[in-house]
Amino acid sequence: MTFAFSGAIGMWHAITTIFWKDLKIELRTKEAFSASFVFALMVLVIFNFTLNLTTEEATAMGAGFLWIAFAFGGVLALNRSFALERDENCLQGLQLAPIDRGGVYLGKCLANVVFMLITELILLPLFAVFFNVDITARLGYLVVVLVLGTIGFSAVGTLFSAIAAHTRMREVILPILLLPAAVPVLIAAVECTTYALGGDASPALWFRLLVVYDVIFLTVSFLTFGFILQE
Amino acid sequence: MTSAPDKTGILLTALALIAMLVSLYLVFMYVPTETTMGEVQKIFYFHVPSAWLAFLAFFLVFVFSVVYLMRHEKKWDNLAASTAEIGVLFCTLVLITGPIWAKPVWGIWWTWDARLTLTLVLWLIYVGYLMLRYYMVDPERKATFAAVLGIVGFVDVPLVYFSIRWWRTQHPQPVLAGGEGSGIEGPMLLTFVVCLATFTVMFFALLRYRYRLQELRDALDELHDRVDHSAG
Amino acid sequence: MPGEPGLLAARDITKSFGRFKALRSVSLDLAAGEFLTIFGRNGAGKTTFLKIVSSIIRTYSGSVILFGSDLKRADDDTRRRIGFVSHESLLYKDLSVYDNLMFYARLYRVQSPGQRIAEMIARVDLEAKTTVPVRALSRGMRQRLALARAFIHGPELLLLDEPFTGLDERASEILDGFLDEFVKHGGSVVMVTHDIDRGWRHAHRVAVLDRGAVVYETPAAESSADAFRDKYHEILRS
Repeated sequence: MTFAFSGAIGMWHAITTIFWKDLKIELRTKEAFSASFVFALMVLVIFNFTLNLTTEEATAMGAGFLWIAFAFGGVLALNRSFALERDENCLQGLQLAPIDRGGVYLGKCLANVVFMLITELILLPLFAVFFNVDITARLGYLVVVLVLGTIGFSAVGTLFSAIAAHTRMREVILPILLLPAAVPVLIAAVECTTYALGGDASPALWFRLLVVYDVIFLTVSFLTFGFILQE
Repeated sequence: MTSAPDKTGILLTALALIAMLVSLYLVFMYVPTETTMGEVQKIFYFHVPSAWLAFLAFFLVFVFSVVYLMRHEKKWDNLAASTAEIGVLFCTLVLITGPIWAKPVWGIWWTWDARLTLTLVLWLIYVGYLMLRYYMVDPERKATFAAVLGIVGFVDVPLVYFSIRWWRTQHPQPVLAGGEGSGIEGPMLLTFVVCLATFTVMFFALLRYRYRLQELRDALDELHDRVDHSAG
Repeated sequence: MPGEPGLLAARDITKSFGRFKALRSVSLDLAAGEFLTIFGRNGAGKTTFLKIVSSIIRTYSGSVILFGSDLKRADDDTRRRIGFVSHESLLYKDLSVYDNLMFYARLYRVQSPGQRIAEMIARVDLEAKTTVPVRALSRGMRQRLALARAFIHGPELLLLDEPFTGLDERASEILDGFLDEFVKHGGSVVMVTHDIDRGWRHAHRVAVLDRGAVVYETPAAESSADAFRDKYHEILRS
């Protein structure tokens, strides 16, 4: 029992240490945020110009726009997550360290979730203004959906970012791997978000899929990440 | 050292060849033409076996990936790589034969039907798998990363399937008559089973050759390596 | 405590992948307090050997006993006792000098890290740069900081992978000073390099790896740098 306890302490230590480090880097550079925020904003603006929607149409389809913007912006933030470990071979520092590898994964994943959520929460009111959509109808539910969808997206995204960092053309390979694998979480998040923006269809099934997806891919990534960090 | 004739390969090829002739006879001469869809329905005997084998291939990639991560032996990686390539090949056949069948019967090339969409998403996932392999240099790392992707990709399959199926029920599209192989029997069933067996034999023949090719490539790499060493 | 046996005992290590063999039945020992230098050309398997000892690589045959326990079951305590210096700095360019050291101190759970960091920063002469991001440091300063990083947790066994590659004069001197002091206090070292002068300087024992196998091994006291140089070139020609 004491063994399990010290294991949990060690895990928590690993998660917070990695998270603290990524947070420090982000506070100093703001690169993940600026890249993903500006790109996601651009996606929303382009949607507006290319589709020219009425308020009713925007309310019905807005969830799709939002998640396309979040996903594309998120890919940029995720790409950076392990690109910065590749410079100066910092990854080797993590390989050598006396900490749990699963903890390294969870720490990186947590940092990515937080960075993506910050972008999303700033984009949300801008979306409401641009498209004249009321986002306050089921705001609490909306935020929960954002959190769950973002966890699912970066659960796989963090693992794939570590993989892509070792390839030539890593900026290209991450979205190619991530977007098809994220199809279930994107569909589920869009359906739940549509409900949050005032849709009628019950999202109970989708909400459950979001949770299941998060649990499955946090687990699978947690278990396989050790192989990625090993040589 | 690997130049001895590959008896298993030759046997599989011969078997596949004979089976293919039998299948072609059954499909075009023996089996009665389906009454509502007409001649085009015969593509069913190629379309559905291709789909089954694509799924079998991706399941095998998953199995080989797990074994590779447990044993770290290159042959399991070679098997996974070979199987994934052939899986993508059959997946492509499904995506080509599907629209050819759909156009005359449903009047449209493509529909976001659950099975067709699942096949498309799988195709994207495993093309990504092949691209990842292509873009990596270090063979051992490539094997490990590909194995992780082979596992994650396969775990994703049921989630993709259910999400697309539920999505379809919430966004109904025109009801299309005549689902794939709905209640076939008699000569049709026999022809279908023979075709499925034929495709399966062909699958393993291709896999055998692809795997041997990989072994030859490895042997060639090793020779290059030795030449480099004695020159340097 | 020189002479105490078996800090590291590697037996018949073979590392292969498919047909490629990086190491062929390598056996090497290191006593506590000993300094072993392994020479060899690029691709001889030197780095692979270090990666196995530092348990970055876990798939090989043969056995490695390190600090008295089997490396295949290496735990965090084993990792904590190892320091690793390579020609790459393992530093985050966007973090300050202090934050880099703080990150590694936390990874290794250094006791009272603030004090230890200040001590290390003083030793590598970077007090004036504490809050400066690594990006803004000169190459030489980064190399000194990389040394501080490798020593932050007070390792007992130091692994050095071509540590002198790309070092300037000042950083090389600091590294030499670190190594002298480290060995004097009973630390053990395995260094791999192809630089004979630098490699010989500290060595108690030298070995040569060629095409994944140990082809020569001798105590430094029984040879001289020049005699070894001749021997080494002869091996490389073969």
